[in-house]
Amino acid sequence: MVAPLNPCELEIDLFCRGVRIDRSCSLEEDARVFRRTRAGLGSGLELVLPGGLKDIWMNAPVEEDFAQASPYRLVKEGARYLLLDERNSLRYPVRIPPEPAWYERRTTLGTPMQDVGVLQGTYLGIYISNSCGYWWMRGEGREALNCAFCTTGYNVGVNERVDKAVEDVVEVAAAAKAEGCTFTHFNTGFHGGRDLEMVAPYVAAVKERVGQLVGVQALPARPADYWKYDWLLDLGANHFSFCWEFQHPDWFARLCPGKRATLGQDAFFRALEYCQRKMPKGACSGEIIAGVEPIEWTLRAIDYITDLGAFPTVCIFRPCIGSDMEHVPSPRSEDMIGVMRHMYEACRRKGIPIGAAPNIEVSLIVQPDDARYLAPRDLRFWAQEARSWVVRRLAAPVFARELRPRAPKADPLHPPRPRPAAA
Amino acid sequence: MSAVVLKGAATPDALAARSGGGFPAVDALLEGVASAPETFVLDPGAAGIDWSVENRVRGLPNRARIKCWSPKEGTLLVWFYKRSALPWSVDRFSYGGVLVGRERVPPAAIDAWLRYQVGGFHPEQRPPGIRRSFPFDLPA
Repeated sequence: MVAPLNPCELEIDLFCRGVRIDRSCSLEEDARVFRRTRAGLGSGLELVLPGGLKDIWMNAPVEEDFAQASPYRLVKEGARYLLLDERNSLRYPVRIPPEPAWYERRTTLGTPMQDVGVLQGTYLGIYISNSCGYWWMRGEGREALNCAFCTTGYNVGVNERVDKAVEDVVEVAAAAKAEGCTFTHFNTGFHGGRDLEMVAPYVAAVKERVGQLVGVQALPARPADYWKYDWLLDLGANHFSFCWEFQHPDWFARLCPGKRATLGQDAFFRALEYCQRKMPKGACSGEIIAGVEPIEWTLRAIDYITDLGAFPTVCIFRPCIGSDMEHVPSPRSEDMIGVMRHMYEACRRKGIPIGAAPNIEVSLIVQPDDARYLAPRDLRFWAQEARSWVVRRLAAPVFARELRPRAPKADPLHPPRPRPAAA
Repeated sequence: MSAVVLKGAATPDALAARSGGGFPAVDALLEGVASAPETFVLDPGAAGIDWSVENRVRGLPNRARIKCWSPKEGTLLVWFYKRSALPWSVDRFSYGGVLVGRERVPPAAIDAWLRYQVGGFHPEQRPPGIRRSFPFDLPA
């Protein structure tokens, strides 16, 4: 008899295999509208996998060709949803998070709120810019220098608004906060070194007028411009993430041609090191994709990130429709379980706080605290659980303060130093 | 232009008018559609001229679509995209497009665009000159 998967094993298997939707489902009534925005990872079905340690939020692939051959079928029985594994007839109860009420509303300017930002798990993701410059750059015999796994340039103007007004963003963040959202995450593409200036007014406005935790994901500044990170911290940024995607320099160069040509891999490392030194442990993250480069390099990336005191954000490769890697197979679940177990162990060994921030569930990745399910239930595990409990209690007042609106300590429209010329 | 070539379409003139009219690329595309062995189907509810093709790719129904739509006077976008496989989803999956004016487009380019659609947008059939990003919003 086959043992059922635990919630994290199931999450990983679903990321790798996708899910088919049975005719019994009524997701048009029960689920959030499907939105492929930003890099494309959020194009699937938002699911909650219940569990004893925690419920796991995930975005299961449904659109891609590999998902059409998945052994998992989502069925509805009465009012309940179940995942049926047709390999062994195991049944897993799941929840379908309902659509937030604000998705159907418009901002004062008349913009549909769901065109401004989307919930990816429980956090609000907002892509603030007019596409990514790599989608407009030609060179090296390529149509464009975009990252091979990404679909950002295809989404803006198609599934997303081209321009996002600060007023719209504030209203959407406020609407999301009213329904329990604590974290707004801004990301941008390549804008010739102006990325951090672009994001600054949004950060300041959300901090001052909404009161949320705010994250920024942008391409790294040059060392001479690291003052911009200090400026954004004064404006209230709580988190920076840096996506170099692949640790092996050859894989990075081949699959991220724009990042290689304009910045180089080292720029990501140095910027992460700078920011993490200035911020509490686990406040910054390094983002990588697992399942493309050899696994030992992914593990090496996790070790490097956690050695810095930063948080590893590990995406399982998804061959998104329309991406240059659409026809690359998705990775093997067994390999990804090993990666995520390593991620959890690295965080535990190096004291990276996991699961400390209130109500931040990221559906696009396997979070380190999801991976608790992969660890043996020994003394070290329970000691770590106790440490995490204490950290959550100690951090609660800090987060409560951050969730109150407050005036920024700097001017978001006038950086403290002259703006550099665009590259 | 030849007779109506898209299943579900009205007259050829009405069809051309949907893209703003006066674009030789539209006429050439519709002539290419007319001479192709596959059946192409108009979506009369979509903006511009928007059609799918009734064939299968690797055992699955072909989801590839072409939309001819004018973002501004004198400019035509020939956009390659797929719609969501889920009937209630409004997501669209872009494969880029070509911006042309009122000039004539070489027949080889027209053929390459249509073959790209018939092949389900296979990366090895990707025609040259496709732009990946556009600085405007695309209507459904």
